[in-house]
Amino acid sequence: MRQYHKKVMGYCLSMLQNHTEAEEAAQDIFVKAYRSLPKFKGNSTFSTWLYRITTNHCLDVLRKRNRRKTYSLDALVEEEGDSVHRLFSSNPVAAAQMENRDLAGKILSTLPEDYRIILTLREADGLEYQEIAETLDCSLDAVKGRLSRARKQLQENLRHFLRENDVYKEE
Amino acid sequence: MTHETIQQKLFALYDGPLSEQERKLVEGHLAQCPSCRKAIAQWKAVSARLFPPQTFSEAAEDFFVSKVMTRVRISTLEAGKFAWGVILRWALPLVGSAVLAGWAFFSVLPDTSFYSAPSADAAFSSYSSYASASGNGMMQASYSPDEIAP
Ligand SMILES: [Zn+2]
Repeated sequence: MRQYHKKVMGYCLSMLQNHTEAEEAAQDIFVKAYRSLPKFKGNSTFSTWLYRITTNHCLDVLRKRNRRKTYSLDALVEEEGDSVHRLFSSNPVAAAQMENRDLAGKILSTLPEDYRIILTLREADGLEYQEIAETLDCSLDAVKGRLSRARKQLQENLRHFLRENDVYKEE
Repeated sequence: MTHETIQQKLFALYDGPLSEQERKLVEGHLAQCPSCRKAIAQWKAVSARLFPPQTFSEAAEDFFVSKVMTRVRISTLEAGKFAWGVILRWALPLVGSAVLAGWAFFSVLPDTSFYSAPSADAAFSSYSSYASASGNGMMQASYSPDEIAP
């Protein structure tokens, strides 16, 4: 379980943007997985199966809380502008701090759900195209296309901050 | 290969292995194209900040595992309770109606059946009264104690 805890937690964190909720969701997911273990047929890898449960569960949680709107891009620039600037001008190691994780969550929530999902699977969990395709039940081409659109959109959302911070040149 | 097609391959290289030939092409282009270098560097910077590696202390993981296992145990117990619920909901009425059917069989049907003790008694007494009234000698000689006495 330990081996998957980190991955599931990371996925939940970037989907739900809240540590408490992410941990609760991760618990729910493992309990669900334990109980439906007899249904696991082995025609996908165990981690793909677990990622699929995680994806569905996070989407459920997001749907249930839809009254709490996702962060808009305008609100991000207006309310969190300074923090975002700081995040991008600081050393990436600082990104691991709790308040920066929450900020990262807010930034990601400016994206549509399917973009957030695919970016998390690729960037946070390091899944290969084929694994993402199995998890999301779509074709390889769909994965490549969606991933590229998601990256473009995220950078577009952040253009305001990226232009002024040239830290990425050193990295 | 144009700059556009290279841009698409750029992220394929970043995400995973490319064929040897494609990798050489992309790397060759990267070496001489500042704009592509900037694009990939910028993405790396974004990714490093929005998807920082997760670290959990061993204690936090232990705590998590124990919480999950407790919930799994509780849910197994609840599943047991659920099975009892099913038994109560289905088996109890079944047993109940079987008992009812049995009661109906042994209490309603016996009025017409010789299995019932009271009606067998009645049949016997009506027979014996018929026998004595008809004055059947054989029956009385062999079975009536009154006739044996002098
Ligand atoms: Zn280029």
